[in-house]
Amino acid sequence: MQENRFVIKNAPFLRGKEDIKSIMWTVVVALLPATLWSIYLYRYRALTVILSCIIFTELFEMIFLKVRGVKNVFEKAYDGSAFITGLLLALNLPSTSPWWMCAVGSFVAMLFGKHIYGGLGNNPFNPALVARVFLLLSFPSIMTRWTVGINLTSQTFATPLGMLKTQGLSSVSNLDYLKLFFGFPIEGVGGGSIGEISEFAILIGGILLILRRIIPFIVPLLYISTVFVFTWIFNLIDPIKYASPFFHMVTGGLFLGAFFMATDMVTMPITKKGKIVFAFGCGLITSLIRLFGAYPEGVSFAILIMEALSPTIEKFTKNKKFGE
Amino acid sequence: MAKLYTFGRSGVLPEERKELTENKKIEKLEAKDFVFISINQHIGAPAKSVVKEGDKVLKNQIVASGEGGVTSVVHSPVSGEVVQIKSMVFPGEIKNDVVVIKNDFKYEKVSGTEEKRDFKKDKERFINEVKNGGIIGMGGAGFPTYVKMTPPKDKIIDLFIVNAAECEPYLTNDYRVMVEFGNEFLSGISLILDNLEIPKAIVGIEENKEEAFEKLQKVNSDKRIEFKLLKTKYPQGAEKQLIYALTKRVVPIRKLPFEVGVIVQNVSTVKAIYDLITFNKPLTERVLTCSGKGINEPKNILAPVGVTVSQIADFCGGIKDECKYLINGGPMMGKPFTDINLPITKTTSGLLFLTDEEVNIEEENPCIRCGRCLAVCPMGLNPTYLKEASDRREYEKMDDVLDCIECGSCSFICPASRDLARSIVKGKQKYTKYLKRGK
Repeated sequence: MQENRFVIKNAPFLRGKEDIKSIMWTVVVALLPATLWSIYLYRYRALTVILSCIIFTELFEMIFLKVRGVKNVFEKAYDGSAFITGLLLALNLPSTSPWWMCAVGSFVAMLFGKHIYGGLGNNPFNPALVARVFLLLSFPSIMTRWTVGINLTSQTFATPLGMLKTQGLSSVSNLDYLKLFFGFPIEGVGGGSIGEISEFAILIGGILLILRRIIPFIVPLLYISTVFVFTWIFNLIDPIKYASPFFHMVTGGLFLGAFFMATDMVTMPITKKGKIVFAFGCGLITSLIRLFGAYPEGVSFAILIMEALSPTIEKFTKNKKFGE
Repeated sequence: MAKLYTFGRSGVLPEERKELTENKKIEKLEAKDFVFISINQHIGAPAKSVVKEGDKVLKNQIVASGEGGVTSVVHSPVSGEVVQIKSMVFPGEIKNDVVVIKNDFKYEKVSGTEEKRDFKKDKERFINEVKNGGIIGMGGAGFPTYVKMTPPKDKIIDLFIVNAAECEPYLTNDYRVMVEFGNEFLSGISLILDNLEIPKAIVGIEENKEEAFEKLQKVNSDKRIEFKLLKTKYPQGAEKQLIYALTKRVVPIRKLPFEVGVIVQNVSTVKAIYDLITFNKPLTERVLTCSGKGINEPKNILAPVGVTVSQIADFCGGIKDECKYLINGGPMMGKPFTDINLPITKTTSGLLFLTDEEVNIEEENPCIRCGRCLAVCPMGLNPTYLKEASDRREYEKMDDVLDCIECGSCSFICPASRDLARSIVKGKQKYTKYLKRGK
């Protein structure tokens, strides 16, 4: 009989072409402009940080997949998700980070950021952010050693946001916003984490993700504009004390966070309205920390806090059914 | 370019793959020595066989009939002798009795059937004819048509919609019926408008069938009929989505189209009603698309209900070696089966013979919460959560499964290849049982 050769599978028999791999690797491609720019500025230092983070995250990814008893470890490890975590972590570190700190960060990201919850899709927080905050709290001095490009020996400087926080508005009033936006080094000003220096490079990648419909445009747009409006209000109230909203646009990790961290699909609310609440909350908390907090920068904390609220937000932002 | 109508932002865009058969003329297939008539081809109260082994039957004679408010009847497409009544398992694990009739090739008809008749406008008689003619929704669901024509007394129907979207990939049977039987199809619409006293009809046709759209508009003389071109998007032909696309009327949740004054019928059903009313010809044959890269000569076929899949496959040049999947219906909502000895029914709009090259179902991965299933769900549901709740039988979280139209858009789009629709459809059955137990 012929009929035994027929196979039963579940409808629909046609499936879309996009899979986890293609999504993840597209995100990696979108991170390339910022990555390449960081390598151009910091040369071997950036390369060391990036390679260490990627190699160690992939290594720990495979180890923890194996420990969890997942099949096809090799295939799963190269779905791109661990690669993104490694790359994102690197882009969130100073160029002076030692390789062993990258290893610690990768370990924390993979274990406490991802696999302890059951792996990809189950983590409540972005693994790279968990690792970054862990490193920031554990190694505060290494994590704030900012240099100006590659050509300086070991001299470090505060970032614009740091200067604003500790020395007041006058110390940053002469900075060229355009230079900051495109990510050109400025003498005497720390560049910040290697991936956040050029808002322009991040924007290029972010637009690619929006066009490919991998991230919803509303999240970065609303996140950034909330920070803009909020800092603008205070700038209007007291222009002597509070910096211009444009200053906040081109400094710190706002763009990197808004386009690549807050948009982590695993950790933001799944509903459309939920994403709007989430992005607004990220913007609000970022602004509050930057304006009134003890830390100069609030992007990581803002996203982590909103991620913790994600399940609750989802509950209150259910989609409307058709005909309801 | 005419304006394109559609149902909003949800839905998906599968490859159409209609080029395999869209230009192939409908070919008529004759029944062979035996026909296999399933006694339940409709949704509703099951029918019972009214013949027994050894009985002689005529063509168009009723062989099964049901009782109750929602049911249907089945007629024989040939004359001959009932040789057996046996149980067969149909796609979807549904067991049904099948009346096996040995064809005597005499085609002796029940007297009066298949003769042209003058039908005077009469609503009650019309609906009764539709019931006794065994007409059911031929788009795939098989809901008895007379029930759809009998709205509750307080509902005024002001619009008749013909579902000519044919949004399932591969299928071209409705398209061919419109192109080749345009006049009959249009007369069918007029008959329905006359007898059910509905003032207006809209025919909704997807853009990829523009030839039918142009042709029908040219030959149509009934001013009550309007044609609208729909965007080619899946599931454009889902009833509630189609009504919304064409009229912006929203059928309330868990209600029928009656609620917004609309009756919807599929192209082949309209044609069947025309044949029944004009020629007193009950529903014993249908046009179906036989397609896919697993069959040698894809075709559109006019086949008697009850011929086997294997006979149809032979008629289409035979099944290729690389064919791995048999599907009853379209590739999005159709049901898989493996037994080529099964007969086709009134709801078999397509038979697909697919190869691995065409079916790209990957292994399931964990949900990455990308939210694409929510974005494409035409009913605005949360498929990924409903799948989880269904798999775990978390009844308190499962109520929305009842709103699922089973279109499969969620499974189509899922980058983790999760069988969302499958789990939710199963969840629907579990939840319905749970609700019954509760009472």
